[in-house]
Amino acid sequence: MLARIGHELYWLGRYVSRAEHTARMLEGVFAADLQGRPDDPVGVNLSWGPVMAIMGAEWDGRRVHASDALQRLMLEPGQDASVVACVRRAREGAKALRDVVPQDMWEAINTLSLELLAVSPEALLQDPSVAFRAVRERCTLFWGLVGRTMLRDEASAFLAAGERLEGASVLLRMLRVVLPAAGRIPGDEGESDGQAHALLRAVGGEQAFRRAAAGPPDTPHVARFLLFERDYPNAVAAHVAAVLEAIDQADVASRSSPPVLRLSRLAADLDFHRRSLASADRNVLVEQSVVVQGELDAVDRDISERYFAGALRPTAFSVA
Amino acid sequence: MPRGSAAPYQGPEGIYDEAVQASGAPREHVHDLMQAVGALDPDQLAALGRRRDANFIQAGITFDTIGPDGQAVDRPFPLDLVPRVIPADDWSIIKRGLAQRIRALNAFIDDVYHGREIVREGLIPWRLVVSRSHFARQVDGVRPPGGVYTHIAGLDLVRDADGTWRVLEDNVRTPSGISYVLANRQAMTRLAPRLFSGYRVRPVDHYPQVLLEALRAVAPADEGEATVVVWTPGPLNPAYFEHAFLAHQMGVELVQASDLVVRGDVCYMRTTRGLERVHAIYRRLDDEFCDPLDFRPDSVIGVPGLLRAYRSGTVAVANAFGTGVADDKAIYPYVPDMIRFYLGEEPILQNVPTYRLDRPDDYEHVMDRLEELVVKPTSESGGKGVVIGPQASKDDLEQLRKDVDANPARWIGQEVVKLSTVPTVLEDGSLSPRHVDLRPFAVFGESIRVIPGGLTRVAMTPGSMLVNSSMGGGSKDTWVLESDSPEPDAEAADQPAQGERLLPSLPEVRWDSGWVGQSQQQQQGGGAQAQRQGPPATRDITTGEDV
Repeated sequence: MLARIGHELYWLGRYVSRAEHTARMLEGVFAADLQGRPDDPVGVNLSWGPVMAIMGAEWDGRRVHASDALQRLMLEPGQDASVVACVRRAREGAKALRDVVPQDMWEAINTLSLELLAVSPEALLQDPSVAFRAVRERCTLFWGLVGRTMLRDEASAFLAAGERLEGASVLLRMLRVVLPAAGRIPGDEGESDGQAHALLRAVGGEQAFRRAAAGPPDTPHVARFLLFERDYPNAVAAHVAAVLEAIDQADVASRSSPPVLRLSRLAADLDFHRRSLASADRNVLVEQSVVVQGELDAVDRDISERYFAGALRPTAFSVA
Repeated sequence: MPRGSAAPYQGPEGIYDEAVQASGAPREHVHDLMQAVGALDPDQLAALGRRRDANFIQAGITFDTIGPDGQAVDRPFPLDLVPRVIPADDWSIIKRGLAQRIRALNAFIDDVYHGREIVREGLIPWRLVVSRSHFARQVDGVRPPGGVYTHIAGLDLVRDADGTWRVLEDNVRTPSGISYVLANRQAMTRLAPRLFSGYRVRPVDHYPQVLLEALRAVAPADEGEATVVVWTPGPLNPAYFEHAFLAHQMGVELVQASDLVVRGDVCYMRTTRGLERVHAIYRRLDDEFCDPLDFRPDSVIGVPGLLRAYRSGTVAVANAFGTGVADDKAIYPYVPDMIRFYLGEEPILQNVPTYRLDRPDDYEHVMDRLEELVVKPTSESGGKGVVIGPQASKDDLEQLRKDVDANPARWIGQEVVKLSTVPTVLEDGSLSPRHVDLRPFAVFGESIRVIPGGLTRVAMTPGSMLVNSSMGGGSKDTWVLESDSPEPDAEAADQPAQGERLLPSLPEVRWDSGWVGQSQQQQQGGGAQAQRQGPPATRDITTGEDV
């Protein structure tokens, strides 16, 4: 496969995944915003400020208005991090890949792009659930089609690698924003736990967390769950394992492949820390998130060096 | 022909109409078709047209044209719903004529960059050859792998007032349009399957395989299967759809300049598994953009060092560098002489009478009859700069006179050919005659194979003869009918003798060369008997089916 095509596929995966995660997070926060009571110790307090921070925006700790944040993160095409910008880039990528990806997948992205264009800012504020649902359903359809119609070859491997790497990256961003924010106010454990709980909701992991019986939904437990629980598909460890599997499959000489080696180490580390950090406090977990994020950035560079003839794209995104 | 309340279809006065005779009666080979079309009323035809446009837009089969406001408009590729039918007899002349002409052009290109026999013989002035803008001194003395230069050719044919086929232009650089031939056929079988009833139409969908075989045949691969790629300038190219389509159909990579790299004298592509050797490149861009080191230094869509690799024979490029010299309109008048000189044959297809304006006699003649002739610049394509005398205004002609005076060698004059007409569906669903030409496509690898039919281009404005797609022309599905005779046509047997192979010096090393010789003998020697019993089993291999 051409390096350029591999690169496009990898980024198609990243963009679709980024759009999906962003929309899911916004949806979770929006729901929380409606119900949240600041004085409720187990209430849901992940508000728009941290969300902006997660997406890479400057946030000075002041209150951010919902309409402003929603508008900027959903519909603003000039914002690299907005859902509409991600979908647009995914669509451009899918267009260039029309020979490689099945027609249905192209149509899913194209339809989503058209649907988002049809959403007006007023309609978004009135009832954002329509837009959230469109993104969620089309993205789910897209990944479903990948599973059902795409040949299990290099192409699907790079697509999956991009998807899962992005998933881990967004999750780590969330943890890094939520964990220290929770610890900032000493003695205010209630709020911090509320934030963690909200995070769990935003990634759609509330039920999984309960069923895994991972403990009370306080910050350390949630963070450990989202970092190390390999059985939960939207945990960092699961994402890393999936990237490893995909790259391992795409590489003909995976034993000597730098990204495979790095990912194997990372996966083993995560597995080890799952037990070694069983009672760690949030500071250790924040540190761990930073380390993992750094490793994933290195994996991204390794992948592009080994498979994409060194082609890189800026992974950081920002909301001005 | 019954057509509801609409007036019966009539060909225009003094022009050859391919569907009806001067009397108004349909010609024999389209009788059934005209009846089937006549059975549809205008509303049904118009509705079919809308379905066709919707399908094309959905599938992304579009063409950029320049709208009246000067902006590029993306519109569905215009396909007319009435197919054009070419009887088997006509086709056998066309395909032999094309093969002959392409062989001669190929020999000419080889000659120009090597011995220059034709120049020494005094048939073509050297000054004319070297002054062509597509003459590439960079490849002087370079013979491409396999000795084939014109791998893909699309010659433009027209029919004059008595129905004779003539060659209007030779396109041997990067002729485009084949994807539309395939798309048109597919669309027609879906939209109007009834029209096909009663006809045995020769298929066209094997073109990608033919092309791939030809590219593999000329690829300098020592062992294993040759790696073939299609090289597109990029998604912004108007013909990108075709590039992607061909790559997809052939199952090869569609590369851009950034995907190719030359290390040493070898061309590679960048893959996810590192560099992979490339043996043959079907390039869809002009010479001058291909290699910034040897051609235009400012080209950003070229591959540095490609020409070096090509020179050392490690990669085949189709069409070869320097073929443009045979594509030039100033060379066109000499093609009949080339056929006689290189092949020792009389041309099967004639040129349109053409005048070279750098010759004093011709110059006088053309300047006196400017309002009766067509005048074309020599190094342009796509109908750019063409002035049709009878349709030009006085000012246009004055301007033309000045332009020609400034540099007569840049122009040629041609007699106006009254292009034949075929019935074409108008927007309201009625039928009206429109002028057409034909661009059949030939692929030259081991042998020359002509795809049955080709792209019929239609001038959509009444009376207009400008059929170029970029000028708003339409297209038609073109049917070549199977021969009716149960016996194989005599021509199939004598084809190899016609000079199926190009250069006598080329070794016959491919796996099927034994079969070629054998079946040739069978058909020529004890063939009379075999032929009476039915077509010999190996016929397809010998004749390449299409030529």
